[in-house]
Amino acid sequence: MRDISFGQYYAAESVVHRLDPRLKLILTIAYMVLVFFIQTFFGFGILFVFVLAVTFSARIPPLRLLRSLRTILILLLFTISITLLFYHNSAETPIAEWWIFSFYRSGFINSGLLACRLVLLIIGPTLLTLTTTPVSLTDAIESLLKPLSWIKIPVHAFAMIMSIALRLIPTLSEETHKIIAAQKARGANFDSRNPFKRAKALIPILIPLFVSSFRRADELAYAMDSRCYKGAKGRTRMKVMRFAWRDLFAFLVFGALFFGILLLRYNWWNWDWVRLITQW
Amino acid sequence: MPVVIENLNFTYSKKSAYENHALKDINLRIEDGEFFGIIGHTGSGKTTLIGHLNALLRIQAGSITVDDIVITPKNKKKLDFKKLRATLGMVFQYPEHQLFDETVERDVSYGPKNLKLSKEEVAARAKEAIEMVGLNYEEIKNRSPFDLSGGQKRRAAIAGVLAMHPKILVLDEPTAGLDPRGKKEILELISSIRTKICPTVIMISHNMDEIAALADRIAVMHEGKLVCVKKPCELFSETRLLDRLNIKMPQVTEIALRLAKAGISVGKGIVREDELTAAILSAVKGGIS
Repeated sequence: MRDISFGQYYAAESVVHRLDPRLKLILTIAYMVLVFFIQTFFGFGILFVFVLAVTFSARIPPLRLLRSLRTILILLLFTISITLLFYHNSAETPIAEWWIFSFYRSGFINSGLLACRLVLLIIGPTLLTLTTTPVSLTDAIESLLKPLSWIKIPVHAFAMIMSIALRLIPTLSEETHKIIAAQKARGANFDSRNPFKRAKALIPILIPLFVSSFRRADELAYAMDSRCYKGAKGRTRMKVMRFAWRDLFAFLVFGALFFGILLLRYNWWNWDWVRLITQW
Repeated sequence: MPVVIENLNFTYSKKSAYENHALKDINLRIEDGEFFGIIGHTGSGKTTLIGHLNALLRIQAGSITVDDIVITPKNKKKLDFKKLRATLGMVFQYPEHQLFDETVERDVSYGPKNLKLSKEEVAARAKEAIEMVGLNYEEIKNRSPFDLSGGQKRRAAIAGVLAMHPKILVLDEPTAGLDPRGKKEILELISSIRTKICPTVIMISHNMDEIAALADRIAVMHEGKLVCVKKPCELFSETRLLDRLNIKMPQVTEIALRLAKAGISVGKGIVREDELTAAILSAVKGGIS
């Protein structure tokens, strides 16, 4: 049997894994907003410490986290080099010159800040998907969007569609492998260099795949009907999400972080030590 | 030329948490003109084994010879895949799931077209293959394959493989999901394919009645290993081995065993219906006279 691991959920026993998925989702969104409020290396440093603490308490190997950064590596390098080469204040004099480029102090600082921001932006949602299964994420979204059902938006139906889709991804991928094998056995060639030929070679895979998806959908609909599925009304859940003490704790920790970062930025009470830190 | 498999090993998802040693030191020789059966439980490596025969799976260790084509880990990229896949026709489980074209004729032509044959040759082969599987060519050639009945779809899909003129035909559970009549028809079709165009057949099956009645030799797979290769009459008289591997006997053999227990001696190694009938008749006659 082929491995059909899907998504990037990292199975482990930890407080972070057990947190209420709704809370995790909200905190992740708040975290991403927070990233945009930070403008100093000191602020980013605090957030890095926080992220590391979460990673370790979730028992995720840090390498897994780094792997998620691979996808934005090119974007990262591109933004860094562009900022490095072209960003400077009008009054500034270059600190180094090479060929036709000049480098400025503010360019270095800004590209560093940008890099921190991008990396932290990616890491947050990655931590969420590493510690939460797609299914419980869907449940969380459904639960959070529940108010929309007051204005007749079928939230439950959307959530059901999403969880069925998630469930069928490994099944369809297995099916695709089988069809590819069958067509290869009939001499199909998927390695042509001509893009038109390549696209055409996909037809014998896509059509059987569509046909079987429709068949599967029909069968699933019958199976749900025969078990009296009638939508959201009167349905109970197998996993009921309840707020626990650990959720409150996580909320408070994050709240403190949020407040701290904003304090560093705005310094409402004009505390001297805050000014000292931010100037440094 | 026979099919020879030597020291074949295969591991899925090497060096990961899902690592699975699916084939362990398989050595096998399938002779020309032989009907070769493969049995074993789900996950025993049957499908992995036949996936190697036409290089759908990249070979990792060992070697395979099909006709005069040798597949080894060293030459796996330089193989003439088209020639190999035309030599060894493969009918997968539920082959009707591979149907895709607008008409049956065009779908059956897909294989020969991929072999870059001339237009006339493709058309001739499609017609021949459709007739071979017992479908009415004139009536069916312009119909959509998706409009056919379950049994007809499967025939059309098998025709798609036969149109490539394989020298060796591999079938993975060709009767799965069909009604008893459809099953019987497909088995008859396989027998007639053997006599007419492709004498060497390799068949995977979970149905012991089918495989006992048709196969010359049967290979038993268990947890990635080849347990034994035996003639049906030998294999199904080894009650202890079958018990250990949790393999059912053909109904015919079961009946013969019970008859023997009840005191009617019908002899050993009975695996086919006609054998049992003859044995019972002679036993009863002997009893009467």
